Amino acid sequence: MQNGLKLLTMLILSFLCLCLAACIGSVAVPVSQVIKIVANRLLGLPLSENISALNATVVWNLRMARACLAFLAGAALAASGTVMQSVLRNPLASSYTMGVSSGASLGAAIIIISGFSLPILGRFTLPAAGLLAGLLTVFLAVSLAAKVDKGFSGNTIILTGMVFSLFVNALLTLIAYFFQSHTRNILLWQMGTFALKDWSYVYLLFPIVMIGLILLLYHSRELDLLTFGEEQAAVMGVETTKVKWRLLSVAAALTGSAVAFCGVIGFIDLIAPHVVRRWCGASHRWVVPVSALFGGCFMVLADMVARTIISPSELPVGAITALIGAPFFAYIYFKRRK
Amino acid sequence: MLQLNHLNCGYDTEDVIRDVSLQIEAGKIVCLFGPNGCGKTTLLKAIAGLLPYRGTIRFAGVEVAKMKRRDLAANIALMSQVSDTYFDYSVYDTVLLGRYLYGSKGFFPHTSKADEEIVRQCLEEVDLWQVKDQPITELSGGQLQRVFLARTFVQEPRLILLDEPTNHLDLKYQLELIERLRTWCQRPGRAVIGVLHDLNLALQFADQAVLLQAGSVALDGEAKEVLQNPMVTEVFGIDIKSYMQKSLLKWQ
Amino acid sequence: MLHWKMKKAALVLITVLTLVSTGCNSPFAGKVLPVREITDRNGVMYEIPKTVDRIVSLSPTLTQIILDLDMTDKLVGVDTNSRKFYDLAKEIPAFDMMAPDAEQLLALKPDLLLVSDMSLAGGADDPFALLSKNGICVIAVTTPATLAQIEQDVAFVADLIGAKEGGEALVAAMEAKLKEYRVLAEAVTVQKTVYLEVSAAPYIYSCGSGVFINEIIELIGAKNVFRDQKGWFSVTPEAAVAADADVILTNIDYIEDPVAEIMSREGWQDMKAIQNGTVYRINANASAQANHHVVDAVAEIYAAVYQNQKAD
Repeated sequence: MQNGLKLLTMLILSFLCLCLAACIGSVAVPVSQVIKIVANRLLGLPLSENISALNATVVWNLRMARACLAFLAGAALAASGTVMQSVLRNPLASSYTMGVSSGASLGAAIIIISGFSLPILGRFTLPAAGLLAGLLTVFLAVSLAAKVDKGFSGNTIILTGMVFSLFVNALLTLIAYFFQSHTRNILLWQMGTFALKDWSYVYLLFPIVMIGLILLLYHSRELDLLTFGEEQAAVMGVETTKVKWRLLSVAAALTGSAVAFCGVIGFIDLIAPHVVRRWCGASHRWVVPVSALFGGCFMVLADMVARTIISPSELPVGAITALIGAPFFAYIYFKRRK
Repeated sequence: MLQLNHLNCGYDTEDVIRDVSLQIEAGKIVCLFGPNGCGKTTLLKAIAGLLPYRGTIRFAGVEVAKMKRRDLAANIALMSQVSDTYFDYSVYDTVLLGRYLYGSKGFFPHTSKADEEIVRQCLEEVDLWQVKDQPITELSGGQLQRVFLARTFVQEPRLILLDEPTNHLDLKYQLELIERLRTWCQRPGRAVIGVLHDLNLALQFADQAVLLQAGSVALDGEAKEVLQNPMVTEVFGIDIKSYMQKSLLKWQ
Repeated sequence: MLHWKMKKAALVLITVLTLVSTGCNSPFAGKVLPVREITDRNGVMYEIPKTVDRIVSLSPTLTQIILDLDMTDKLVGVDTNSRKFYDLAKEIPAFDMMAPDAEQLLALKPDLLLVSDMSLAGGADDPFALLSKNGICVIAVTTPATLAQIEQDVAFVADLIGAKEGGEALVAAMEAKLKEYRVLAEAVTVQKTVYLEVSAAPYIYSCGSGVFINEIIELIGAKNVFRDQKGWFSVTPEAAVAADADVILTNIDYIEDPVAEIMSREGWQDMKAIQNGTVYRINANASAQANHHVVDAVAEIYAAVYQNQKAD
């Protein structure tokens, strides 16, 4: 199958996943009603009387908003993971390698304890702080790597990222200890969830993810070249330092926003690139978008399972991604290595 | 074509290359040799613009440090040693990447007919056209080296730098490689600098030979003379010439 | 041969005694204080000193009982939360309930150390093993699941500290109050459904059966929408919305206005409770306290559910 066709398939699959997520939930809403509700909200078609307002809000505000947010977060994480693995030339590199999630958690913790809120941002002060702190941590980690090793090779970044992660986590532990009344909030913030996050989260995350993906696509050639090593990429004409900074920043922004808005959810950024590379080859022109779509679908499905499997209770979505992700990944990875 | 003057460079604080001055003319095949650790790879990297340096490296009169990456790539190509972490690019795609600097920037980098033609030509020359769709992770060391060679040619440089290009190749391909390089070099404005361990090959095809020892030039001149110079025995610790001659006798 | 048998017998005896009397080994080496046995509602038997003069309480719930029994003078140490909630003499040291300073505790030479589940939840092994080994009587009062168990705990603590009659009085008063509400419940014509939230967005938690607050809801003649679940669990928002309870209660005290937060949730606006404004905050302390003050929670919940009265 041609790669173009594969991309189209993923797009269709993504659409189907969103439809599935809209139809499945704790409340039984017949599919015909779901369609009418979505048509009403999206196209303004009139809603018939016998569809209760409750059903309508459940489908649109509780399920669709949540599914869209999950899709965006999954896409962001998967795309970011792809870039990290390529730039760091390490198949186990993840978007969390550079310390983004620790930094974001620290930023959020500071806002939680101080109760500080910017008037313009309101309740989005918290995710904004998380995102900024995450980006700052990455900036520091990469700068340190660049100081230590002029070409900031993959391994150096992994090491400095780890150092910063550990350091920031230690700070977090201290803060959680000294501000015990907020400990719970701080810890819970880190746990990934899409519950009770309304459409405004989607509106904010959407442009970040789109711009990020576009920037990554723009550099798909450079990404290909970088996988052969920085030196080789440089002698073939890539401005490696500039391009690497840019790519790592985009990856950090994508992961940072996913974490800032939804908490830390692992695994998707690790397995999506592997699965997609097996299927589409290594060319980033295809791997980046297909990865993003795959990550999105996976996250939507994982969230769907998390919120329905022990209804009315809810499982943490991070547990689901790991539980499904690990064996799935093992199967895909080792199947090839017969 | 290439001029090095009082070149000093290295990694971190240590200088690996000390006060090297060289001149390389167009049309020449230069063999760079010396014991392990004498700085051959470092010198190649410096010429390719990968390392900061003190002194001058002038390519066609322009200082390498001042050239932009694309300009450097258009003129100088470096084939490094084969490493082991690669993603599953196909042979074709890998070689096509060598055309990067000729493509336009942007979302839909167009692969022109010219690009495709050059890739096809170079793949045929290294005998890998039949496996063009195979992932490079499934190739043998020798095949992989030929892929990178094709990619070097596809870049259409004026100076080719080779770091031990014959490592994984069997004899047939070694000789073919040399022939190809010789032919390539005959066109105007081209030169080749290769790091070779096999001094037989060096003797066979190099015009100029440079012996490096501890980062400095110990000998520099016509290949035949340099390779038979007694200093080579000193630097390497064995009498290469008599060893080779003895081996040759065994063939008769 | 005899010598060895005696040693073995002694070992067995000690093991049995240790197994039987949790938390309390023979008090202070050398001294033999008069002891008595007392059993808690879980069937665990403790050996405690006959006279109790020095008490450390690492649980605000238990501290409250001690205060109400007028036994404050016997209190020589409390936990940090108790210090925060109650007006206690400044000299009384306050300890972290999850990781108390063992040395300081030992130095206080308490006759009894009262802890709740919270303290035991801190670490994997028994954090108080060190203290028990040094002769301090550690008594763990586990979280009660029913109102009856709360009454038993109050009586038990009173008995422990030598205020048995005072305890009985507290229990009687509690029971009388509960009876009042049972009567009121019988008069309820239209039973209301209640959804109780105990953790803020986005990690909302509610409770099912098996916790005393659920019993309170039933006692006042209402129905917990999640009564067929067990214990505390995380709720998926869709289920909460679908349950469409008549009244929503929240006992969250760590955000400023939890009621406003719930009312402003996107997608919840069509719920009965939100449209009618029957979303109330109940006092966290009272509803979380597993002692006789739970009647305050009963009153509050009844007022919220059936009298549409907000708490202060």
